[in-house]
Amino acid sequence: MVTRIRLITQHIMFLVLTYGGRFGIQLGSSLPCFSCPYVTGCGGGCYLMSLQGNWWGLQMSSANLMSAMGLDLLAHLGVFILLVIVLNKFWCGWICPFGLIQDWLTSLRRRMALRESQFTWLTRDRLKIIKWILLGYLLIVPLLIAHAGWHYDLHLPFCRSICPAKPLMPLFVGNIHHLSLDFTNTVTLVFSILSVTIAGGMLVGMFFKERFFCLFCPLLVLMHLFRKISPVRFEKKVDECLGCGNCQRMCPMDIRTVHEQKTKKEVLSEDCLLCLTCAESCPADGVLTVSFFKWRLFSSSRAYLSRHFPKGGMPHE
Amino acid sequence: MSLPGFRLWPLLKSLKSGVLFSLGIFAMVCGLMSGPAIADTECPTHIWIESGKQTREKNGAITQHYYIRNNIRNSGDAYRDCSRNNAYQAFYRFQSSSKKHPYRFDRSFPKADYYRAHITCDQGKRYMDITSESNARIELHVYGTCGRIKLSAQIVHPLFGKARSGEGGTQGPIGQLPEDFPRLSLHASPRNFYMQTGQTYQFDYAGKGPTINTLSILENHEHLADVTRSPSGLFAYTPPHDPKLDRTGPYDVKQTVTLVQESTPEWDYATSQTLLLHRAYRTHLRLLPGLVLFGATLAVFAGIVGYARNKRRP
Repeated sequence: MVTRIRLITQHIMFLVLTYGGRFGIQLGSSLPCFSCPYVTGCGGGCYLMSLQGNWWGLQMSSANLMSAMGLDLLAHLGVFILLVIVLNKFWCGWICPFGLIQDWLTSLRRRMALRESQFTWLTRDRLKIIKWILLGYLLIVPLLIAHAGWHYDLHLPFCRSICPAKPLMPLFVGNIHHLSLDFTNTVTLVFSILSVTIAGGMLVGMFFKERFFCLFCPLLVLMHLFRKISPVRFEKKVDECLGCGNCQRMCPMDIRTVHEQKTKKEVLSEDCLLCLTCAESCPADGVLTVSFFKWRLFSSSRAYLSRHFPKGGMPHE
Repeated sequence: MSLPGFRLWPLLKSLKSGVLFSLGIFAMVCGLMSGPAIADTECPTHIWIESGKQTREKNGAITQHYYIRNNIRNSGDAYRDCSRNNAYQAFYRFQSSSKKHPYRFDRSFPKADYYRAHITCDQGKRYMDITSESNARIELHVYGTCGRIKLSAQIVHPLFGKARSGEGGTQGPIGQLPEDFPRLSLHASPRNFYMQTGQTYQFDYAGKGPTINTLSILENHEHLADVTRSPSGLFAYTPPHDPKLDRTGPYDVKQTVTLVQESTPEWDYATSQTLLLHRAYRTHLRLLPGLVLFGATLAVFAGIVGYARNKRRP
């Protein structure tokens, strides 16, 4: 049930964010999800592009912060924070269009009866740092352009050299030009080679590993910073947990925190997408609960599990 | 005994002539200075507008500095004399982009009023500052007359103001473009707000005499090429790619001047338009190598993953 509602929401949001601009829908450029501004006629833009652009503009002239441009910059940041506070990781699991593409690839792999690739816990933990490195990369390069005389073509470093959404998302509006190599100069050539190569690698990764790109997503890091002030709560009754491990097995991000947490009731971790798969697959009544302020959005229950998965199947099986 | 008047009279007479002579000179100077015409022995054959520095204002608006240049260099000519600042008149108008498409402008300017731009002269350099509070395309014209030459220059390019209040920008008294000058109009692309090398631009010249068939292209004061009028009656010019521009960043520009010179029995006309050319955005994109690389990457990564999965299988 939850999986179905989530899938419908994801598809509606995909249509809105990818094609909405053509119908006059414009949700701004502070969205905490990979709604790529390189998609012509998109319904809203990812905040990472605004962040890189504004941050660079600020570095070019600190006076910009005191101007209306500075207010604009702060407004973008403010809207981003507000959106993150209100919906937190629901953006990832329920709204992000690039997340849906990853889910399509996972679905395709399952239909082809190919098993998912697994990482060891050590590899999984080592990969976590990449998100922070990418966040540092997109913030430091604009500093170096402004203050160390680095080439202007290095602007928007994350979007133009790393983000696989830039070459892949425009394909949905029939634009294949972002898969081109840019021979304008050495910097643009290196950036375009990186972009195309990473997109290819990510596509393979996303096919064999569920939500592969989310392992490296810098937005997850930014969003996690505001988890404590968000009204969205993901809690576990640690005393009533049966310890079956369903939550860990079913998690598309292989998160162990929910299963292993024995003391704290807050279990929203950095990589969590709030897809609620763990809560759906939990057989204990009310052990895992997702709430918004005091309203309970979903709570695990044995009845739900047996009603929706009577043959012992699991949400994604 | 002689009367003092007898000695004074010639003196007064010469003084009177001197005063009259001085008044005559003064009147001549005043007469010269009162109109837009410049009476100099040395006149430029053409003028053009050069785009200078941009400054971001505290409210987020953008101010663009423009110089009026002429082809007389290194001469201490009177034409550069700041006291003759009324030699030129400048007019401009804005075309704001829509809120829906902040970086797109209609092909033609709406019928908006022209404002008079104030021309400042500093150490022989004449310049104008135009401020835009919003994303707007600006069209700036400069007109002047020197001897029997009617000089005009024009520039059209976007300014990206970020002021919250922004609709227009600097506004002066409303003015009318002089009718007695030819017009060189650029057919701008609605999609590309920046002009780029490698793209074809079409110009329409409405002259004062018989049909003119040659449009000259100037770069760095040097004559670069001549463009002939096409059968459709337009001049089509494709600025070549500039390796230097390609090496620098996307915001760097080079300034190319298009010039039409025309003679009639009464006047000579020199009409220029400055093109602010950015490097081409798409011309250097190569899709096929990109697709080949993408396909190869998919194959390599799929191979690596497949190999790793088979290797781990018991």
